Amino acid sequence: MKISQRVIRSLCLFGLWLGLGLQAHAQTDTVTYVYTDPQGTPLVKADASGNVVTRYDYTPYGNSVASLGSPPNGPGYIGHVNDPETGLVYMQARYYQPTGRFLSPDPAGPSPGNVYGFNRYAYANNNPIANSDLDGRSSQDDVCMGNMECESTYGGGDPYSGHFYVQDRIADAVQQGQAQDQQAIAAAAPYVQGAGSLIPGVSLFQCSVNGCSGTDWVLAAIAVIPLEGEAGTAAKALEKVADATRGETETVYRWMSKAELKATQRTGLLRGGRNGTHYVTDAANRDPLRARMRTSLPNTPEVRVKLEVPAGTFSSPSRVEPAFNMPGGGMERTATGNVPVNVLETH
Amino acid sequence: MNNSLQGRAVRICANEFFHQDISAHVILACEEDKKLLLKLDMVLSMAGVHYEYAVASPRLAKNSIDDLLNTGVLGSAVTWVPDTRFDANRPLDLSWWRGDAAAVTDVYLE
Repeated sequence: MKISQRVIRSLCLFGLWLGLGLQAHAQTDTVTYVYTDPQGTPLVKADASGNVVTRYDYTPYGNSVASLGSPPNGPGYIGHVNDPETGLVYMQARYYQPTGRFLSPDPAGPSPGNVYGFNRYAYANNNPIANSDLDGRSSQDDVCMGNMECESTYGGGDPYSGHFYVQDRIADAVQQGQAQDQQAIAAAAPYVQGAGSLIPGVSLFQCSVNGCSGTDWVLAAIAVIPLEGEAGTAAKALEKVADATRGETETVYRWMSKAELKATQRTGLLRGGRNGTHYVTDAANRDPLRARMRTSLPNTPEVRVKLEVPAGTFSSPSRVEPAFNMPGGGMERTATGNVPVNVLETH
Repeated sequence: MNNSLQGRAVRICANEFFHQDISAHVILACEEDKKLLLKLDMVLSMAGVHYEYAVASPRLAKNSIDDLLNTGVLGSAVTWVPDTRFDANRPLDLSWWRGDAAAVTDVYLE
């Protein structure tokens, strides 16, 4: 009997030790960068220094490559949430089995001219390379047919081609003589190099930096690149600085529902003048699913809106926490009260 | 745990999920998890599902649940917990969530 009590006491102490250890571990603040392929599938996780921590890979239809370990418990194939208990992928409208078939029929139904729509269980028109499914409803709106509807903001379908835009903007900055400080550019290089080892666009951006100058532009870019790791985001940072230096307005982005867009256009106020905190981003996430992941939204938004707002209205960017099974990690700025906006572009 | 928040009345601002403000009380405030367990003053019934609890967490990394005390408002990610999903042993656990009954909104201290 005495031995049993001793064992129980030891187990309790071990449990307490384990609990405290886990708690201490949970309180540790670590930074992880997630790199995705053009379809939004997270492939690499890197630490704050840019060192690769974990790699994932998938077959075209979404089976994880076993030699790289188990698929992540969270965003996986095409950015959708893995369900490790069942081996399925949760795509919002339906569960997907990584064999090219959904478990239930498409709630959207077939659309005229799309013969693939008659197979109500098929994934991405049986072409997972060219197409992807954003929410389990394979309608024309959601499936990128041969990339025709998958164009990134500045790249026309190439998710990395934002760097051309960055190059152009830096060249503009130099021509306009907005700032010249080689020291700042040198300081920027390590940051850019770290991300550039994984993102080709950023490597080119670094080349641009080495050959050009423009303190404000570069400082804005390096403030974002280590956090976002994408050339397109750097482009938005550059654009933000340009707006701030040119006039009294600045350009921001917000993914929203079509109903919210209508309310915004009708009232000329952000979110139709609704109460509460308004969230916007400087980064034009290229597709709604990516926007949902980066900004931890409970639903997939419908339309990306480029907005002109009074400069200085919104706070400095802050990282979005994980929520709703989304990883977050994007940077958002906030404001309250009525914010007058000019809708510049919808996509 | 944050005892100074427990029992305080709050208001969940109207949002995409529910278009009216909702009154509630803070039942549990966990600083480690950065989550608040809110008990709704009136059970919410939507599409045959009853919601008595909601879990709110700060939306942005710069915020903590203490901001609700300090500023009176907290930009939050709010998830309403169906009665069938509520686990008294793990009331802040949202790993079961797969969609619906959630919104990005503000929580105000009353």
